[in-house]
Amino acid sequence: MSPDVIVNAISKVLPDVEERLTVRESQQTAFRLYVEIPPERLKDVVEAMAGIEIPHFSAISGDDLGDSIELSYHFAMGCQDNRGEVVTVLRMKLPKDNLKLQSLTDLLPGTMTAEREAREFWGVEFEGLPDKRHIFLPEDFPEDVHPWRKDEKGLKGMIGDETGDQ
Amino acid sequence: MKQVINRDTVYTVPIGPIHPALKEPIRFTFTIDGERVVDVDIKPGWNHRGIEFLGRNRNLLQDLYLAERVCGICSVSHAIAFSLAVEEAAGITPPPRADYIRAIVAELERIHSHILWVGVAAHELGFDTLLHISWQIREKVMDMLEAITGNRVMYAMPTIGGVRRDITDDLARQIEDGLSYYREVYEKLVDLFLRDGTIKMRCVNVGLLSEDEAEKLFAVGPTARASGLKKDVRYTSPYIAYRDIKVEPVLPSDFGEEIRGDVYDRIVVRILEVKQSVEIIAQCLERMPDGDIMFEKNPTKLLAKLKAAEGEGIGRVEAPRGEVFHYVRLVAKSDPPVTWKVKTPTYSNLMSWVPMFREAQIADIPPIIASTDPCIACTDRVVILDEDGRQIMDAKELHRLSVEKTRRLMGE
Amino acid sequence: MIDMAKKKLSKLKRALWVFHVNTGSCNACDIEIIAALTPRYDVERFGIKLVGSPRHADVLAITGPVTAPMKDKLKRIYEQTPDPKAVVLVGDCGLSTGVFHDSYNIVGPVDEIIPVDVYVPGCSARPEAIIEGVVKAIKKLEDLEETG
Repeated sequence: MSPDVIVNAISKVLPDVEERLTVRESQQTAFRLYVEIPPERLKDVVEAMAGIEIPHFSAISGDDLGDSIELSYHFAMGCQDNRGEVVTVLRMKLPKDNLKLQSLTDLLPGTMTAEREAREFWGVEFEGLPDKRHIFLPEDFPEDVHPWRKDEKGLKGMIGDETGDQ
Repeated sequence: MKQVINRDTVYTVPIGPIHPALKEPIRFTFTIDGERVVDVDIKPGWNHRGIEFLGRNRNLLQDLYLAERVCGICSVSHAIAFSLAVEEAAGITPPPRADYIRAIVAELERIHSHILWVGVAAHELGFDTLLHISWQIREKVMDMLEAITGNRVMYAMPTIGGVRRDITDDLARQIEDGLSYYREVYEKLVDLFLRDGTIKMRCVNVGLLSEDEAEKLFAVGPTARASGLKKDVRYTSPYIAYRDIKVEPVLPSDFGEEIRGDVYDRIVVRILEVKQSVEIIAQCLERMPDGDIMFEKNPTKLLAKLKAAEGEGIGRVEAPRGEVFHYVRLVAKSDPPVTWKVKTPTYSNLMSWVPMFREAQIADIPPIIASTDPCIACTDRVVILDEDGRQIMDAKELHRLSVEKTRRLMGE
Repeated sequence: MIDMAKKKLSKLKRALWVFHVNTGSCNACDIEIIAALTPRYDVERFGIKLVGSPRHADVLAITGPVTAPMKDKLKRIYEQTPDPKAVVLVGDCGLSTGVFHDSYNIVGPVDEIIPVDVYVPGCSARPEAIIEGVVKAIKKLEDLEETG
């Protein structure tokens, strides 16, 4: 697998992909291919990648940028190739007043864990996600408190140091 | 009953059951119809400590401390993955000798973890003798780890930019002695676990996960390889010493088995990987370069460099259970990372449990849960519901059923 | 240290059944608890064993900093354990919540939720230290029985 193969496949659904990407070498052999994509094109891009082969998927990382949340989907293409893996990161900015994405679970069922996690920790809604319950947070954790958001005020009272419990 | 493992080790089988304490909380809710599982729901999170949240309030060396404690059984894998991510973000290259020492500790951890697991699996099947035999065999690698790192578990060995302790010639000899022990004892492990008729009866065609399912559910580690996927980060994206030492993914077919993706295949892969790890360590000792072991020995200087760093990095490591993934983003003038994402192998393997329970018998639940080597082996929080949602069985009862099934098959 | 612990153990008048509770630990202390009970350290011949239910236990061995969902479970287990009982904390997490002190999901340390008799520090605690802790717990139980 090489970054070119992946970029080529993505270009079929995102013709300006060349302007959206960064390729970095790594001491860990696999190239890191970062691609910025419009949030509403996520599914199309992933389908294009899956057209080459089923990718490996690791995690969704995020960053609270103030007005928006940036989500990065960490895939790995060539995930059974000797020394041939390419870490492929799809990066999207979601405005805080429109934290919505399409669920990938009908295409790649294994993404459900990460989507449920992103939902509870960032407050992103996934259209078509079949299971919207808390996964890592307790069942009785408030639905509207999202621990990874920098503007989250709802954690007050839960942190032992602050309440003087210790 | 006495068993002689090697010339110096004689032990007796204890009386009474032992309940493995690997009851890290996770909840399984099974719906059953008669003897069969009809549905399963899995709720993790009982030990969610908020590590990624805490990480934003600490500097990177403190976060390394947290990273090690994500999981106490594969803590070195997390320490290495975190260090690799930070090194990538900050543009730091550890000296080559450090990468070899990291690999040696990582492979020793794999050996300790796999043997620990094989004992737990034996317990879930009702073979407490095998639990004791295997944990006795494991003690040698615990000695090796303590000799090199100063502790049996929780090593504080890898650091950002290298490792904290060197392997002297004397320590290298101790490691070689330990490797000889494992080469001698290996056939015994194979005999006890892979050639036992009852284990085969309990584990073959139980807990099946097809290659296709494993791929779409993003299974990792021995769980993925037992289903035929050649997924192993040391093979697909080599890091540290694996860039020089080739590691082939171990598949059940390496033992002459057809690949079924059942509980038995998962035992095969882990036992064979013990042997593979022994040989990798031997190669590392042989080829270990001389030189420094740390990019920057002075922690204050290191922290200063990290505080000035700007960039993002990904660290991916093949832990005993599968892929460990760390992502960090660093911003200049900030001690803490602005983003830190951790992904454990158990996270990746959560959904693979669901197809494994398809048509399973209740008595097979404990070995199936244990077969993915979750960073828990916990039947403590298992709840069995009947079709009307009433609880009819608890974990103890379940374990007893599994043990009874084994006894029946053995004809006792 | 191991020989001293064994000497004390050999003077025991009773067997000791231990129930282990993981309140959210990373598992390092948990596996050392089991290691303490395997042939190398050889305490099972003194009648110390892990049991599957708190209702049969003399000693509760607790690991972890207590996550929010585990708090009630921990209390219930304590209540289900018959008297006389002793509570042994294994590891720094239980003592003080350790490195997790400022988390939104941690409600420990353990002694703010249930009474604790013996603290075994360490991250992780060694098998020898765990055995020493169990010995102290036995001593407490014996004292309790003598006084009433």
